[in-house]
Amino acid sequence: MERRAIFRGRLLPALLIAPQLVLTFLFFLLPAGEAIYFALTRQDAFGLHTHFVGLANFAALFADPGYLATVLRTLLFCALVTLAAVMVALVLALFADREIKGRGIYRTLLIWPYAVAPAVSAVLWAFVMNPDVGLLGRKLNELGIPWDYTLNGGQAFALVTVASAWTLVSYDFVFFLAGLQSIPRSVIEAARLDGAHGFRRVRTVILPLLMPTTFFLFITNLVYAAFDTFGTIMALTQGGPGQSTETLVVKAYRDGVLNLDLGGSSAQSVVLMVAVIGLTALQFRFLGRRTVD
Amino acid sequence: MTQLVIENLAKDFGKGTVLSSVDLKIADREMLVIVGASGCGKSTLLRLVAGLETPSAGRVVLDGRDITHLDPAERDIAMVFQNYALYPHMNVFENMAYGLKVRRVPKAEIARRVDEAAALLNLAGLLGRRPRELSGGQRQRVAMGRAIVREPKLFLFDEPLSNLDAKLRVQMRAEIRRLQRRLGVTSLYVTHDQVEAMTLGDRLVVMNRGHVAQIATPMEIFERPADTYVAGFIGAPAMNFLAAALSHGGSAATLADGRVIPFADGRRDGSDGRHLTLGIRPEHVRPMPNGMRLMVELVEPLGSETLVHGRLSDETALTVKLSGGGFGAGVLDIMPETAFLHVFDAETGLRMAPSAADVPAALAGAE
Amino acid sequence: MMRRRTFLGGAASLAALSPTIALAQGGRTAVVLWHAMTGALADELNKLVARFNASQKTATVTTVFKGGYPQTLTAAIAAWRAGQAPHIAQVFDVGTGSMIAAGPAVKPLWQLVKETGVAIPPAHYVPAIRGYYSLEDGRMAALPFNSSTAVMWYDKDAFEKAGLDPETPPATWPEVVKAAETLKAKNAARYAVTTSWPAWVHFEQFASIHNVPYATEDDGFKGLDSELLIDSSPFAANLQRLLDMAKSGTFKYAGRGSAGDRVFYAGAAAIAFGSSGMRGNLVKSAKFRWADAYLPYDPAVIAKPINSIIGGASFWTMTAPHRTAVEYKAVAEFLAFLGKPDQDADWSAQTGYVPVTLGGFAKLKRDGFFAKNPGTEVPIRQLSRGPVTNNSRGIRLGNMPEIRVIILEEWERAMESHASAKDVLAKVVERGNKVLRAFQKSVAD
Repeated sequence: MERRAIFRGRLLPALLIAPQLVLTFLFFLLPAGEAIYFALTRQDAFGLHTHFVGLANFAALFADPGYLATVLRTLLFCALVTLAAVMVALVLALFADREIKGRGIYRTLLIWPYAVAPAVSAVLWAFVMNPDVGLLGRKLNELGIPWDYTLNGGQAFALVTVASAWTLVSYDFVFFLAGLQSIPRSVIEAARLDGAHGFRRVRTVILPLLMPTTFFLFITNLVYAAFDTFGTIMALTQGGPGQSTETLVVKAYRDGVLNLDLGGSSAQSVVLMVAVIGLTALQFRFLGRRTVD
Repeated sequence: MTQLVIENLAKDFGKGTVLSSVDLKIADREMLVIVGASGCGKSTLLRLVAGLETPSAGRVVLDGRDITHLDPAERDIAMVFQNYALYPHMNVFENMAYGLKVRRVPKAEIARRVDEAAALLNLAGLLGRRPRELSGGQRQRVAMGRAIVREPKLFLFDEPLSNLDAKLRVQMRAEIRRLQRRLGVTSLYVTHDQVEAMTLGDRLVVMNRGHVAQIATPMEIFERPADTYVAGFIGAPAMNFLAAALSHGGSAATLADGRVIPFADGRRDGSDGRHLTLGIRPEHVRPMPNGMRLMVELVEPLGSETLVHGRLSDETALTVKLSGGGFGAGVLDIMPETAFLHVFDAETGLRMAPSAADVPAALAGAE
Repeated sequence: MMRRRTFLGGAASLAALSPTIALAQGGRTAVVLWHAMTGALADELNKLVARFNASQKTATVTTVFKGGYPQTLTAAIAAWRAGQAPHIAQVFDVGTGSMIAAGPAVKPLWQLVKETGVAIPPAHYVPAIRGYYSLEDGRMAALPFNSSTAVMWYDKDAFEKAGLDPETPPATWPEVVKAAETLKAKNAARYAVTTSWPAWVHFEQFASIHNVPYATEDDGFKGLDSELLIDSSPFAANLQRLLDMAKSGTFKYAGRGSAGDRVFYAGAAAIAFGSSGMRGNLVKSAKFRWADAYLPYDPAVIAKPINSIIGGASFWTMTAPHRTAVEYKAVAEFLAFLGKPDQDADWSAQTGYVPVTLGGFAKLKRDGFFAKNPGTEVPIRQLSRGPVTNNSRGIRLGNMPEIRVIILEEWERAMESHASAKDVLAKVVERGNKVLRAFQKSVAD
């Protein structure tokens, strides 16, 4: 069916979309454009000496083994956080979807962590895992397991991964639960009568039907792991020890805010922006096709 | 040789009782249809048999094996769901093959059975399609096919036709009946539609509020409803009920207006004055001069027949089905044909049969 | 949808959201000060400001908290680029290099004094502190404010438990190592030695008291093409000592920044290197007897250690379009006010920072503050030890924060990989020099 605007003239439609356009311009196009411009320049912090350097900042970036190591580290971090969060959330949701006692409490408790700001949750993790004063951290050392994430890069990486995934589990759980509840009961029952037991039923019927949810969560979790874990990482390890927990965002922050290297930091931001645009496009494409089905 | 026995089966949800103490026996190759209004417990009964619910008491025995507490997967039962419950992410072939694959049936055997079922169901050209690419009737047939290929001991149908339009429903009804006969699979079929029940079932189970009201062949139920509920539920338009009292030594009923209706089939037990409910189907009421006076309220011409709705002088509503047309508003004098009179106890609602000694030979023989 | 953040142009929008407009209030000139002080420190700063506002009728100073030191500096820079800089910004020690290179963005103190005629004589300030914020020729670029230095804190109870004399803390590194072994052997504390601010204490302070250069070009005072010298043997020997101690369990690397403070507060370390500013918290919360002492020195490098350098922050005067002479005058008067002995002594006494003026020091002494608070004189004495040399003025390198992080990163790696101090420092110098060249390039015309 063809839809026709019921508005006459141009003023009203223009007025109606203006706020959105202004917001997009102010909070996306303008800063993004500025970042691209900065990325093409070399300048001091105060902008007193600005030289146009073309793609030199990008060239320097990709020639820097430290940056490439950070890229790989970030990819690994995002993948681990996403996998851990999605898998744990799925298992919890499968349990919560069944008729169990105290299901309401169980669900509520699982949703809470998402309401906690990343930095706050990181502080909680530090309370628990600190090798000297943390409940669990001390216990580990007392048991003879040398635990010190301030020194051990692997442990630090594991800690920020778990702490980041922990917040995501709640978020994913809510989506999985909703996804599970939108699967018609009778389809599951048909599978039961067809003889499919627990894990097989999950693998061959439930998971395929949860694919759109899972895909959506993969994308959002990846983006979260890449960007919103900044607070967690800064509160727990500040990127250390060594550079073992330095992700791309932590590096961009460090280079931009602490080291005042606007050109280099902007180049990193532009790379990140391209990555996010790519992920989002992928998501729209995939989910868009799903919805048409 | 498949026989399903249900003994004393009950189900409570929280404080309410959905199903109380049901006993049923289904013979080999029989199609037993459970019919009743929504909320009567018919679906619960089916789900208990399927193993999708756990009973509060009682046993389900299939072929001599107690399956009451078996997982649905272990019961060798297939079910056709009201909304078909096809797997949306699988094509028609995969939908039908799924249960066999799970059971590790060899590939060649799966292909053979699916092809056979597809041929039987006219689905041969649709095997590669996804459920969303099929019409309602096609989906229905896939759901049937999924059950057929399993070659189960028992088929369960949970209102499988209720999502189809009227024309398709009639078609599919016949098809299901034909298939069931041909495959000879013992089946339990749940519906709220009495026409579906009458045409499909070898025997019917009429359920009312968690109880079995009557189990019998369709004609038996139509001709000898066990109580006023069954009598009112089966038959369209529904049976008329008149309040009356036993009189003349049990050989007649006296209506409120004093009119006496003699029983054609014999005396009923009880002292005179016992409260009765008389039942008479609309098609068994004839116009009769000086009969009961019906104030006509609505006339529905159906072509070859006409339905006349009205009220008797004591305000009792009554429907009459007359052949022909041309009836108008006003007053109509009518009488029930006494040969088709149903007599129920007014208090219990149960059918009152003629006293054993009094049954006429002709009727006794028909039984 | 999840919240997404990007840093794109964060600086610009930050500036747009925090305009600082010099509104005249009741005919008074408004002066805005951005700072990074929290808790009790912020209260004390506000008290000084209130006292200034009450002391005269022409200007009103208002303070705005802008987050940590790095955030405050970044905010000030972004604001300047947007033409909205505050009149005064509190900039931490390692931001000094960047501010001196900031040209028209700042009005160096000497220039402010010259333009406004308000007297802030450099001679009134403690040389070791003044030097940190002065140009090569001695002109002051910023006003020293909150200043501390690194000292060695120790737990007297733990010393006693280990049979060490609590009144004779170790003075040299060999003595520290020996004491640490005794403390460990006697199990007097969970850790024998720990540290806060590892790069500041063990590299910057170390360079100063041992009178060894940190970088060429007189630690960067003479020019932007300086290169790091912290791979020289004194630094390598010191770091190797710490790595060895960590391996043998007598030294605990507690983390970056002030992370070591907590270990000492909790009584878990017998010796902790940290800021002299830890005093306030120790007074409040320590459940053991504690004291401070001079930073230990390496007798193989120097026989008589000289002054340590300061840490902390200074006040910088910033420029903005249309900023008037009247406003600059008000700024100068406020800064001069802070340098008066009363204010300086008060700030020092209340916060634990050292007095930055000789007058403030003299007042505290006159008032008997040092006698009443044993150990408070240690940082000042350490700061004023021996003549200030080209190696003990402070370090004037661009992007110092990043160099500190590089030191820590490589140090932390070495603790896992057991690389030698020499290798660690070679890596640090290589990475650090790149940072210095990048800075040099960025400020080149």
